[in-house]
Amino acid sequence: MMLRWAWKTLIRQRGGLFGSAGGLAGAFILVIFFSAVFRGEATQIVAYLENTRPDIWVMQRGVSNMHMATSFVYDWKADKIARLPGVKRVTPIVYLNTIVHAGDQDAFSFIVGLQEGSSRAGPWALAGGRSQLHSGETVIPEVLSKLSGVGIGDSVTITDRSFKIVGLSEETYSMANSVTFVSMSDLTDILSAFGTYSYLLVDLEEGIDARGFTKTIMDEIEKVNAMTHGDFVRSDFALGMMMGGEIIFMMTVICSGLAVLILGFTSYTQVMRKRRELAIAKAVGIRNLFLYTAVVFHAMVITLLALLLTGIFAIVFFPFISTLVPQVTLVVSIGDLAGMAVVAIIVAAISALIPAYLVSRLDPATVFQV
Amino acid sequence: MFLLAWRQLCLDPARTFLTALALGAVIAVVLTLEGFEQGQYYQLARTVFNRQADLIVTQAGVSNLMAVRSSIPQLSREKVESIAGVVNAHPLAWISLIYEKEGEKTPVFLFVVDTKGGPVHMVRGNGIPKGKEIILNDSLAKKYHLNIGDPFVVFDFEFTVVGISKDSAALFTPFAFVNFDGMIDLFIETDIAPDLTTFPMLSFLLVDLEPGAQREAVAEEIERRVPEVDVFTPGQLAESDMNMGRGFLGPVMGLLVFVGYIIGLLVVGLVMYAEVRSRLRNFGVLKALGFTHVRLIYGIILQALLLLMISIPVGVILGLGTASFIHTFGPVYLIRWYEPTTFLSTILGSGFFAILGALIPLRSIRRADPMLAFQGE
Amino acid sequence: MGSTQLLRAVNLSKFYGRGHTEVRAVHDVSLEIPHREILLIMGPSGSGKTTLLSMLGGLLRPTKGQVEIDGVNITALKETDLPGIRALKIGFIFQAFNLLDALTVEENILFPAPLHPGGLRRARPRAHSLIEQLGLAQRRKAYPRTLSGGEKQRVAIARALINHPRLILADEPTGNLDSASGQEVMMILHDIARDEGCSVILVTHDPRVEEIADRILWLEDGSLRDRKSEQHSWVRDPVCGMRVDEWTATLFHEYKDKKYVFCSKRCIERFKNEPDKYAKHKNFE
Repeated sequence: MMLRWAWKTLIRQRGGLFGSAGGLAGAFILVIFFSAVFRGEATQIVAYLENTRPDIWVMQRGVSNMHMATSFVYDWKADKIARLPGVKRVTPIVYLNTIVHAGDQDAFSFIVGLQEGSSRAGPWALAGGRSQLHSGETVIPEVLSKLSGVGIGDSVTITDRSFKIVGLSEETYSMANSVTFVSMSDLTDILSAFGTYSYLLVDLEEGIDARGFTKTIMDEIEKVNAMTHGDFVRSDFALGMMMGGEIIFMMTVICSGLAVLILGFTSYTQVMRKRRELAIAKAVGIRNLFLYTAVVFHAMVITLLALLLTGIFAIVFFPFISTLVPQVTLVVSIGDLAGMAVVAIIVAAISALIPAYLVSRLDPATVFQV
Repeated sequence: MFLLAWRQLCLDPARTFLTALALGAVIAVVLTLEGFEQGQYYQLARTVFNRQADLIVTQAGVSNLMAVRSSIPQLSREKVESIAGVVNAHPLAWISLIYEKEGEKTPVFLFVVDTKGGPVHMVRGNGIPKGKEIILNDSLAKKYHLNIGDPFVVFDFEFTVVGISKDSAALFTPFAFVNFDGMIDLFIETDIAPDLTTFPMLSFLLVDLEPGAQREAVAEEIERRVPEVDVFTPGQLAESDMNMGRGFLGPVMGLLVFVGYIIGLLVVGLVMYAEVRSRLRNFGVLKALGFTHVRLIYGIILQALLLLMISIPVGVILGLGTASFIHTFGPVYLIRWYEPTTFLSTILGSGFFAILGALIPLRSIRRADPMLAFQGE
Repeated sequence: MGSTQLLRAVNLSKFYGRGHTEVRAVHDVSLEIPHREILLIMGPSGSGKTTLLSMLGGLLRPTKGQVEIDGVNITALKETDLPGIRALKIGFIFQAFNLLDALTVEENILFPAPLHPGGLRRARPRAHSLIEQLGLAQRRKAYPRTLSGGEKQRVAIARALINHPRLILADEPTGNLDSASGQEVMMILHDIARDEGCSVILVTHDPRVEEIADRILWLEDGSLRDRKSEQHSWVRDPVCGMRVDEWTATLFHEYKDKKYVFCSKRCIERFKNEPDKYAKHKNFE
């Protein structure tokens, strides 16, 4: 009966129910927002790697990432790898992290230098123009073009050099690392990295085991690291997530604390408003345990509703937010939502302690008061 | 109405306290988010100012210190030092690398310094690296439990930790400092680069001016005589770096702060809704006595603002606690919520959303029936 | 233009619902109240007394008819204009007192003062005077939860008078009070009409209030009729022996050409089951 009472009390005040759940959902949204931002960024960090998709990545020994890393490989090593049996093709790229000045926008960017005339390792989706580059030309993210107001035919500046925009790429923009393409000769010149590449993309013949071949490469070529595509992507993704790991953990704790306070306040208010009815229940002989159950039930219903609102918001609105604010990529995983659910249940259990204490202190004699 | 609003809050001190705690927590979260954002910009600015130069020389076309590649010809130093008004031009470079120990990776900005440009604030140890010595940011040292005398291995090359610094991080990344000699040893003894020309061994020059020298005039002269460089005051470069930071952090943090304010609006709305519902009879009585809707709504807004004022000191205390918590677990992050503009904007924003939240029970107030006054309690 | 009548209600009706579910809470009530009159409206529960009072005070819109207070047709006013009328011309006294728990006695009394053009400055001396007159001087700084029922009602009366209203509307003012407190409140209301020049409309079941009323109206099934205070016809319920006013009773039964008056349906049913037993009982003849 107390559960039924709790349920009916909640339903009667829909405004209060949705207000409480809304406030709580806000706190939950903040929690998953952080992990969604970092997961989105990490997803974008590996977007280039994912879409380039060679079988094996070869880089300088001691390096196992692209993001925030520096790698140099002698050009003759690329020729040597290309001659290994089983190798279909080796595509070298040169790579630099720096700022691209486009109009009034400064975008922190991966600059990828591509062999002239080659589209391998270049943009995988174009919104306009072409992807094959010559010296003095560049392909920039379409989003950057929109934000800065520069388009095909206009120029951007990288270090002290001007590049003419000949193409606009899709799926290459994020707040912390867009991908900009230039010709290899230009980037080599900027880096003064003559005779070296940054990374080698190795495509294998059909049926060759990539993992085994990484060992072959490292045995044959000294001072390089070879990783399968999957391992390399995971390594960069993990680095991207790790960079946000601490702040995600801290914001989870902080916002969970906020959620406890909001839910605690809601439960407290509910008990205080209904204390006369709870006193009546005590007066007619209902035990404290059943009253606690009603209070915890109340907290759980609000929490579940808040979780539902959070899930809906995350699934429906996060992609919409990313469209509206392209600098922000939000990616929510089922794992994040499941983690949030666990946090929410803990929050509900803790926040029910305050009203449970109040319930235990209720004096049934108050039913006689006018 | 002010008296009634205040007395209503005093009537149930426990509830008011709990409400102030909830609202204060929201204020603390917003302060933390705003402080986090300002902290990032501050770190970017401090990175420039901590180099303690009167002027900073970059590669032509480069207008940032962080997150860019800048490479100046080696002979630029001599040319710059020959200009009237210039006392010294100290070389500076940095590279980004990933430090890995026991499977855990951390990106690091490795600053390469000579006679100037090292860390300004030391926690312990030596502030000037020599040879194969390295100075680490305290967050990096904490994370890997490194102390003075411990080895710090990158690319199979071993540096020795001689100092722990603070105020030496930016863009979520801790700094480390080595000397040019150490860097050259690193290049030569490892595979970090096929040859030295690959690395920007000279990225920037930190220029000391003679007392009384005109900064702008000297900067112009340097740019004229050394056309392959640009010259900036630390203020200009700091502003440039902060703008870069705003470019990529601004939208995200703006969204997060907005969500924070929405939570505040909902909490206030929830509180005031509960308040109005519990006092519906009172509102009916007040209407019967001749109080208009406008006066009643004014009273509710007053109550919400009074609640906010009580919650602000609670929020400040919680904000302090939150910042401490973050600084303990993530010392690379800086939370500067106490910046006057940050604090003021948070309070004003909270006030605006508190007023909006107070209007949530508007409908209930409008529908409060004066006939309720005739009902038994 | 001055009028001898403070309040004039013409053909007031209030219906709820439609068709066969229509309920006529008040039906075609007209009355006029001169200045300084104490009018008592009595009637059984559910007769429409509170509905009538609410319409007279501008708290409820009538379905038909109009109300004029001091020459102003309040039924023709917009909703937004009514609070002003209530604030300056009408004072309400409720059965449940309806004091604000968060304010002291003095603050409760002064609470409506800002609604008057004179504001608090004008009201403070008046509040002081009312507190003295109503014997609340020692309780000035007390909160409602520490007051007795009589004290609370006196505070409510003072609050109703703070802005010099012309009309006081009191709904069961003695309903929650003991005998002595109720007597006291009645005398205060009498003195208000005499000294403040207000008209007082009282709605109550309390027969003692008849002593102070200038006029008594009886409201039953939404319709109003005059009733003289000395008109009583006391008989005994033949089943339980309770004294019942034949004039105001609603439960009757005829048996063997004799009319019996009952206090409740239960008593009627018992009589009908054994009429001879109760009709013959000498004690109840």
